[in-house]
Amino acid sequence: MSKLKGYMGKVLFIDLSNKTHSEFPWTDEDRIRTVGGKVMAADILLNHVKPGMTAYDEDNWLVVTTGPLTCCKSPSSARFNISTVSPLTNILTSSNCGGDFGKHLKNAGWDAVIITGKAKELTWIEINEDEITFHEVPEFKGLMTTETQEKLPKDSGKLAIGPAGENKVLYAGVFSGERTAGRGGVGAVFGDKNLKCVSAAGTKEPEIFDPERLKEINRQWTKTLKKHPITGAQLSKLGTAGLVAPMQAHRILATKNFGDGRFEHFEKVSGEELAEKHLITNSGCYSCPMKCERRVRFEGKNIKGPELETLGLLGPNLLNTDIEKIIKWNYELDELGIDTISAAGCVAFAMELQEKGLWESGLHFGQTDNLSEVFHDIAYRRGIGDILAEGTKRMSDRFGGKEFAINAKGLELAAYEPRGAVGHGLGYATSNRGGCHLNAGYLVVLEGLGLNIDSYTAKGKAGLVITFQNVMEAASAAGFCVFTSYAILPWFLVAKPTSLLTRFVQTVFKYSTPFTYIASRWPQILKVNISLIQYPRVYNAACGTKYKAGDFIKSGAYGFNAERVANIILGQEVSANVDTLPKRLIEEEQVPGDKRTKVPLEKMKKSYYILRGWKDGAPTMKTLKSLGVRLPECIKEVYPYDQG
Amino acid sequence: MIKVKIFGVLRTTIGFGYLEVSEGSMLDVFEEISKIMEKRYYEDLENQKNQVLAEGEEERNAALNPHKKLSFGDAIVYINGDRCMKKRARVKDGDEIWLLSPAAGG
Repeated sequence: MSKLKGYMGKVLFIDLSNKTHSEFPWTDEDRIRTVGGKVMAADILLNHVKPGMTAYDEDNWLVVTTGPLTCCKSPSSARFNISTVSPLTNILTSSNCGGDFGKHLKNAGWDAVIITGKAKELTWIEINEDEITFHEVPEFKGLMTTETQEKLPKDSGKLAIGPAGENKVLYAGVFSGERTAGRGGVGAVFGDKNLKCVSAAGTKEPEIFDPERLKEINRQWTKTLKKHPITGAQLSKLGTAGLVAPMQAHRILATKNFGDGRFEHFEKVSGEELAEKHLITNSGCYSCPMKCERRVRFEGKNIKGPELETLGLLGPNLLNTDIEKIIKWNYELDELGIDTISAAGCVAFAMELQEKGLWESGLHFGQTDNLSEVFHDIAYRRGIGDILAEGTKRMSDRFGGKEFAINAKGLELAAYEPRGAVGHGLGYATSNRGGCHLNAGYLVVLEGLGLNIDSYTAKGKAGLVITFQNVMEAASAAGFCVFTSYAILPWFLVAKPTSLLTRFVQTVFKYSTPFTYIASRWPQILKVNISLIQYPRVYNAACGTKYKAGDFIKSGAYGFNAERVANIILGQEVSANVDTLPKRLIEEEQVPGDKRTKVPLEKMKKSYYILRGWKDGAPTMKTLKSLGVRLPECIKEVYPYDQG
Repeated sequence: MIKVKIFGVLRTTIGFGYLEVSEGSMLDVFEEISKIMEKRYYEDLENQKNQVLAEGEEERNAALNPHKKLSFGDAIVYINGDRCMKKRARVKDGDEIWLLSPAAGG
């Protein structure tokens, strides 16, 4: 049992092949080292994966983790994470999700659940505190994600896949309520294990170390989040959809398969259009003051509206101007159990293959009447859907067009066109799970959306990307929504874009490398708590730890490095070669004649590796030791880098 | 005339997303927007006075605040697709201005 508060102190290990369960050994030392969430999952998987292991191996583990703050009523702390070997990328994926499953899992008395093996029949795992039941549910076969969850106990947290997961669409997601652990194909791993759904319920509550202090910090932090222009205004009033217009202005709105950063008809698919013509109300996850979810009307129903990524990638990126279609597809894709980002990326790629005469997909930019049918075909792997279900990387292996197959490490890019925000491009390329905007560090928030540092310069970007990657990794590990990290940017800088102070700070960022170097390599020396970074204060009040800002950032660096080593063990290839972007983004100018409008990736990557303490994209042993990364015993045999 | 398009939270604060203004500097444009905001505020108040509330419906606040003028520093300004940092920059007939909220994330 854990002596630390906040945690439930137990990790559940389930073997589907043998229908058995046990408690997985996880000590307070492990908790302090990793905090929880995706960093905990990275540590567990790093010490489990073997060279050549694939997503569909029987002993590929699904690691579902909460953070210590999940269920502690801190603002926006309801997140949970699913990590596993991805069938789409063949490396680790970590997919973070809101909703309330994390809370219910902790109410059941578990901080995390690890699932291995394969069931013989379609299975529902019911976690009711210490009672674990394996239900064979062949009658659930083919059910949509909502229908499946309706079959589960009402007062429980739920995870479910739809037909796409059952049919192993490589980017099938896992759904919890209407929220999605969407990226990297975790739903396909569920499907391969014959795992249709999981429910968790109980009445336990985590013990809090200093409840009064936690309550006071939560109150202050909620106030900060509500006062901030991003977390307190934009996200609640327009949701993430409110980004379409600023992305258009900053030339980062992915258009026509990332052929451009601006879309002439962007207003028709904007957050403003969604809010003024379709919005019913906003909503949000458990304990979240931001309430960024859009509730919209669709065929007489009140449903979840599309997020920015979905709007952007099913709108401008396909040259589609019909927002009602996007609302409909978003709903259908969720019901079928498909990640909207990858699905949209594959369709855009197929449209360009058609345009260039490389594949007769029958899909054309701007002609989208048949897309509902296409998405169903993907879910059931019928016709061209069977090819689209494989992702852009495999499609380009088959048909060509690698230079415009918009993925990084096999994962389709989110809706930000990185030639208009080159630091964000470095983030995409170096992200451990592939083309993800959040694992990338979301530098676009400095490069135009929150602040306006020079978005075309490479100067200072490597260090900033690393710092943001580490902070977001750590926030996620604790159970927080990464959107809370926007409040780290002082509101008075964000709200006054032309003020002298804002412009001065933006210039200083260019010269921030010495600071970010220290923060990257030796974060633990930051023995202070900074009021802008609330996470360690909340963690300490809830758990009784003595974390400082530096310890917290270190936990993020720990997770990022651990995932990287696990990926190298899985892939056995030089990482620098796969830390890349499609040629379109690094060799072609977005604005013809303007040399700044392409991602100077190699230049930034060189600095990035130095600042991270990596060699050719791989963490050196010295770096891993300085971060205290727990390595598998067989590391010498499986890790070919810098063993000296 | 010059087209002005307003986006983001700014749009919900101001209460409208599109208007046309006359030639002048950006300062003039913001002055004109503030005047329209004020005019619409009083119109809004007037409309509310004459509005018959349905049963259970709460009286709402007027959307606009005439005492708070919109200034150049409150927005990110684009003219014909290019960022404008000078409040004295001039706009002419046929130009299109985008006014964006200074912050966005997601």
